[in-house]
Amino acid sequence: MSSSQYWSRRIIWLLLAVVVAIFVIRPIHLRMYVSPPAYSLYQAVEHIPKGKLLVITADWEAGTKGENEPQAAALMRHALKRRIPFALLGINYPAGPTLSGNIAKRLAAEYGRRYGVDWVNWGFLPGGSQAVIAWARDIPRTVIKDAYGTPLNRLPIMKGVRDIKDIGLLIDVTPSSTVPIFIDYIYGIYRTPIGYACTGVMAPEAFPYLDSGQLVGLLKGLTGAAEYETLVGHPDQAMRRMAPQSFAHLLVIALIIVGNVVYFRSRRRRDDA
Amino acid sequence: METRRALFAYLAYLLIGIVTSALLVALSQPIQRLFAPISGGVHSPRFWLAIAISVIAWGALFGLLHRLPSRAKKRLIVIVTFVSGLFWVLEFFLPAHSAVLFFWRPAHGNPFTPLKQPVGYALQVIAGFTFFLASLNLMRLHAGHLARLRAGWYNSLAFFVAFFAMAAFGLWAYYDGKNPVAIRWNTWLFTDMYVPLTGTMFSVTAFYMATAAFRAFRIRTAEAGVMMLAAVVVMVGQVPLGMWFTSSLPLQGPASNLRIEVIANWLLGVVNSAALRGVLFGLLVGGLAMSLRMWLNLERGAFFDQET
Repeated sequence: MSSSQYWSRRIIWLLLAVVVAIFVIRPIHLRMYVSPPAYSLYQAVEHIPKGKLLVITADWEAGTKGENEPQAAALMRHALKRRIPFALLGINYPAGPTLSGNIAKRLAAEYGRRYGVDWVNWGFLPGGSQAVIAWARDIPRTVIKDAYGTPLNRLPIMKGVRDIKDIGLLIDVTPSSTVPIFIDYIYGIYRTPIGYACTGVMAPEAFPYLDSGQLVGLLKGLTGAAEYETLVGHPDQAMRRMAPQSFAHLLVIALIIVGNVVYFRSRRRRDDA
Repeated sequence: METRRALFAYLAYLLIGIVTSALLVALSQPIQRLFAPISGGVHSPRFWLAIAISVIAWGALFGLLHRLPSRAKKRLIVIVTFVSGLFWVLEFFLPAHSAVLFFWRPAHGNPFTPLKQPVGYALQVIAGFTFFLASLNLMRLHAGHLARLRAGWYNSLAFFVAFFAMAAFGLWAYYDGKNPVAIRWNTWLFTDMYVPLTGTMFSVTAFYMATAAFRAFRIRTAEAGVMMLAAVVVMVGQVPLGMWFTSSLPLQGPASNLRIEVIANWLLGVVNSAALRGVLFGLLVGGLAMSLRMWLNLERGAFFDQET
């Protein structure tokens, strides 16, 4: 590696760290535009039929906490605020329900909601698509106990919840490609509406499903979380992270332009020689 | 000669298929009972007895399979692959209810459908073996590094310490959830170490992306130029600061289509969707062809073909 390459890398890393750090330490308020996919997901949550559960999957873990945590928090806040009973369920990462459960505990305390009455953590369900198929047919006999070891039949929120017909909406919060499982086996068979909250890099893959109506709404990474916080009327961590993300994006664009200017200048010099 | 061999192979497939289907239907009830979860879990003696019997049975079976010559192993894998695929094909393509096909069944239901759940449990058990094999391979690799004190041996030591500490305290906290020592250690290892470490590893990629943007994204052709323009519009259109550039334009009416976030959403929702659909069609057709080749053992170089 040449000396210029060695130093240019380190300068770029330093620039990125400084740009992000400045706006993390001194946040600035930026106005948020709500995209149609985020708005339709908000509307789907608003229109969950009374007596039906909202299921928020916890298919993420620490690596994508930066994007998935604010998404999960905004969705749970909406449900707690509107008193929509919700359940957490993980099928991909065993750590997911623990992390999501901690958010729910904190937010439920804020709104004075009770565990087992207003929300429940079903924990991690191993077995991928096969487990989802079995879960859709018989929820109490597939989940059996909640994430904290309490039998489901002792929780008031589970009264009358038997199968997928008792679920009003399922939102998959994940950095992985688990949403096709829910589209194939839940929407495809039972027509239960499915929402999706994914990391920014996964969002382009979701648009064909959104266009076909197989997904009712979509939160695209941290931007999606910030849009949802705007809709819920409670700007939180995603909104605070929008300024660092905005400036980091602009820095990357500037780097692409500078990189191309350097490339064309060196090519012209080589051609002249 | 080749045609006769292929004909013989397909006749064998057909025979195996008929026999297996008949066996699956006849043994439906015992199979469902065999793969059903044991009530009582770890507190039931039946649970530990079942585990002991399974370990002995699987150990004996794997020992036997290991002693088979490669040719026999290949044949066995071909048959198991075909039977496994056949189950899903029959379950999916045969009707859910048919008075003609399933005349002997009480509600004329597809006899393979009730087997889906036990097969699902069996798949979970097989997936469990993959975790075991992966752990065993990792341990063998790192034990070798440690024994020979190879360069970076301390990383192997860190692996063993982390592996056994997480497993021990995780299981202790799971089965003795009220023990404060177990909870404190598990929280310290998981919440205070594992979670920030994973987050840090993922965050570091952002720095590499920034240098990659500077060094690799070159507009060498007109197509690369179009791609860069689309990438810049989508990147700018995803963040509030980018949206601010066109915030003076109205939110409604024809002029709103010139807002950066609207253009970004159009690129994602229309242009990207169309391209992605094309890619998905190609991928799925390819996947279907590949699955058929694997299922019917038409794929060369698979299942011990490399071994002499």
